[in-house]
Amino acid sequence: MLIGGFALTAYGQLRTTQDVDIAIAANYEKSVELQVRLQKSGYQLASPPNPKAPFFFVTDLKEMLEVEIWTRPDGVVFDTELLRRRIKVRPFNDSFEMFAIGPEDFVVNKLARSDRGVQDEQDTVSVLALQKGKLDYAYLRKRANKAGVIELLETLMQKSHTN
Amino acid sequence: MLQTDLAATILSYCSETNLSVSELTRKVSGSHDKTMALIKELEERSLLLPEVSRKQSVGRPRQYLRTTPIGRQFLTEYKRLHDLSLRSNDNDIRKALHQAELAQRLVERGISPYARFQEINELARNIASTAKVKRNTR
Repeated sequence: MLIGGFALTAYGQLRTTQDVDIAIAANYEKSVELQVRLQKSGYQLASPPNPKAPFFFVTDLKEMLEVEIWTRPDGVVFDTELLRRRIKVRPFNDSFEMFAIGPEDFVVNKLARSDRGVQDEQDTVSVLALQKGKLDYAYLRKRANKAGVIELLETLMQKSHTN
Repeated sequence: MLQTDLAATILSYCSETNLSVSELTRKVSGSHDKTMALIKELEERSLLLPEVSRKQSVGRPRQYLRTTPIGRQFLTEYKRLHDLSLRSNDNDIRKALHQAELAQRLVERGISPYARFQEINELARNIASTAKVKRNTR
């Protein structure tokens, strides 16, 4: 399912992005299998498989598009609740449908990033503002609490008047 | 920069490499006197320790600063607390709210955010690629 800038388009502000971020529920063996298959199909891998890395980089050489494939996205727990909240989107000119992470999990993922920056917080604020009143706040707070970012979330909500 | 931020910067530098006081003051931005005073304070609190290198066979032994184990613990705790603070200021939040408003207008006018997203991305790519061509033809 889509996370990052492509998922943001479904819920918040529009901004350019240089890569596509995709989260997959796969263990290390499955992730290696995928990396081998992608390489055989002509995609370029940035580095050999690494069990410690939470994601790997793939470049589509034909389209010159970079894809970050996350097996352990920050703050995201792959469970039925997360899957239930995904939505279907058509990001590439209606050619095919993809899943995008739900808005609540999107927010938690952004705030839980180890390299969180201004852009991540702005993305969060835009989703909180545009989805105000439509979010499942109990679920959002539960996930934020689990990811250790509840105080950050509450502060951002307070400052942006989106609570 | 807060005094604590400056202290963490100094401790971080000295935990990675062996730096003399003058090398350290050059690396750290800001007032020289302020940095010197802070180094002294960090030494007094045993977070930083001056050491002498005996590796050199010629010349005067080189004195450098090392972060102590409690200095490293200070750094770990600082990082944990730093993660708690917001990276964005009031202006960044205002900008994000304005951008959200613009996106809302698109939806209200029946324009697909993904279609507009593709256009923006394509425009940005075109600008980047033409800029590269111009640079290359110089």
